[in-house]
Amino acid sequence: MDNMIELEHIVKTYQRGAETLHILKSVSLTVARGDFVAIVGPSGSGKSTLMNTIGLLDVPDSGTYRLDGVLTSNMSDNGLAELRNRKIGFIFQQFNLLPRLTALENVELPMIYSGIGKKERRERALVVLERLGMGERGHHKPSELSGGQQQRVAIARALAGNPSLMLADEPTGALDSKTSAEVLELIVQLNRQGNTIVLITHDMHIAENARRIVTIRDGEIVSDERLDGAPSERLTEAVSR
Amino acid sequence: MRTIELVVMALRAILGNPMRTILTMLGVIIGVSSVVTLVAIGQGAQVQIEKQYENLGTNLIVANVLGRGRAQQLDYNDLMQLEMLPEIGAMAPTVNKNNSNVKFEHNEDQFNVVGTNDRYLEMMKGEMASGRFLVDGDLEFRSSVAVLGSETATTLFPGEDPLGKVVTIEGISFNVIGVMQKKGSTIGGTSLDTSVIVPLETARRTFKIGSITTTYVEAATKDDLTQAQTTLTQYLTYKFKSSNGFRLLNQDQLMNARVAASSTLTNQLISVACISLLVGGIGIMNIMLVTISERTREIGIRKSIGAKRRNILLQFLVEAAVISSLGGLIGLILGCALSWAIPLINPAQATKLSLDVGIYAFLFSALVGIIFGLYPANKASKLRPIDALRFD
Repeated sequence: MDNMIELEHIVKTYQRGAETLHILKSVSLTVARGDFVAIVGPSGSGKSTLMNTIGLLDVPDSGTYRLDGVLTSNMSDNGLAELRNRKIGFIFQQFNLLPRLTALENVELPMIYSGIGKKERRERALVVLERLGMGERGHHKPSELSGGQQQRVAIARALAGNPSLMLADEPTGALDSKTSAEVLELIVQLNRQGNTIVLITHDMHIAENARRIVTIRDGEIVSDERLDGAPSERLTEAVSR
Repeated sequence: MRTIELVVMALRAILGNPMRTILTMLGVIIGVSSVVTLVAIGQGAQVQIEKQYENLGTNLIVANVLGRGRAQQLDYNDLMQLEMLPEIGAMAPTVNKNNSNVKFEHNEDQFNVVGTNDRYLEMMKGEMASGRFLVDGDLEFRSSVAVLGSETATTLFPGEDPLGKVVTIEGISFNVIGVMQKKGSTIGGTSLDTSVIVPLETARRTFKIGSITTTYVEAATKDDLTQAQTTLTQYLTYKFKSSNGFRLLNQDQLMNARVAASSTLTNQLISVACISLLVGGIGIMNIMLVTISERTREIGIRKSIGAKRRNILLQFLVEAAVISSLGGLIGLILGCALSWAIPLINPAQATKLSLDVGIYAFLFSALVGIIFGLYPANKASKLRPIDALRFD
């Protein structure tokens, strides 16, 4: 079995005053390469912490985490940064584009940190933007783009580094329903093209676009179900266009 | 990431907030421009001093009688015997009565009265504007005659010809026999322009001055300078029975002493300017800390997509260095402009720009940016991505 994510007994606690909060209580989760997993749960369930752990933005107190076969425990900050850069593409709810840079430059950013030359960087960024239908908007600043367009740029940025894993945290949370559907369709397409996708949401309707839904509550996985049928078909029904 | 890309990135971030950037730079701008200007003024003063001594010739020796020697009087005629030696060209012993009241009709002021002989004018490279200088006879007959410096003449005789008039020095009448040309420069602290020159013995007797205090000696040629100095030392040591009673200074030493005095002052001013440069650096640190807390989210985004600590550190370090070196560059230009403008406003204040000092000041400002940027940049680089992303 070729696994992209292998989480074993991940524990994460936070100290708030004298109180110890158990955010993740021994979570184990495996995600296969090419899969599309939605992690759902109410706020405070620990799904954001889980997503941060998977995204290597936060380090668990105990447990092991293998990403694309690489053991991430005891890695240095720099090692984690390099792994994030090479293996993970983030899609955030708030897009998290740098406001002073143009769309094109935002897409180039991860490639700057992986040391790709200026010319190749620009070419690749243009190709990805083109693929997402944003080729014409490369020279616009994020503030000159609509929410949906900004999220497309953010997805382009996530794709540009050719990551093994796409990590989407409430990607439609700041978008209206029509744009949400478009962005979701885009994510489904990316999965069909072979990208492994982990999507975090509190909205079951959005989660239903995935192949597999993992529900987390009070820091524990309470259900893990695989959906029937290709996600693209179900999406077509939902958007009906 | 290449350096040029880092600099471009830093420039864009800096230009995003031009007003703040200029305010941040202000300390460095003031620091660098004052260093450049003060050095230019200091070097200008040095050039001026050197120029003053240049046209005097280099074979002049000044012998000063110090406090311990005053008990033993130097006799004018004894001293003048030294002139017969081959290595000595001319001698002008002097007595001084500084800040003497000199009066003509209703015009009155304080001037330096110098009692000396006929050689004095030539040795000071002075020239007559009208009338004549002292001659042998004036000394011999202890005449009450006076030669006026150009400024003395214009003060006492505004719009009038002083020749043949009678001035009173400390209440005693002197006939004005000549007026000297404007010289501008000062030698050993005495300006020819503001002096009144009278025969030596006349001055000694009239103003009851004890000993000859300063003697100007001209070596016969430049090559005789050392020999002349040796002879004078021997003679004065014999006279005073000690080598502590007098001091000999030649032209170079005189000039160096004045240059040293002027550069001490300049150096002190420059150190104050350097302190303002350091204060400018602290200003940069302050603003960088503010910038970083404002851009915490940006740092989080950059880290989440793969920026390493080194990338963030370098980004903010370059930003601080670019701010300070831009400030340095502006300060350098401002300093050059000031150094150019000062002589136009005040012609007496010469300036001389020196390229290397400008470059050092500029490099120092860049260094200040790096040193004071280090702490904020390090702080930014240590932010955990998760904390930085959560920040709003």
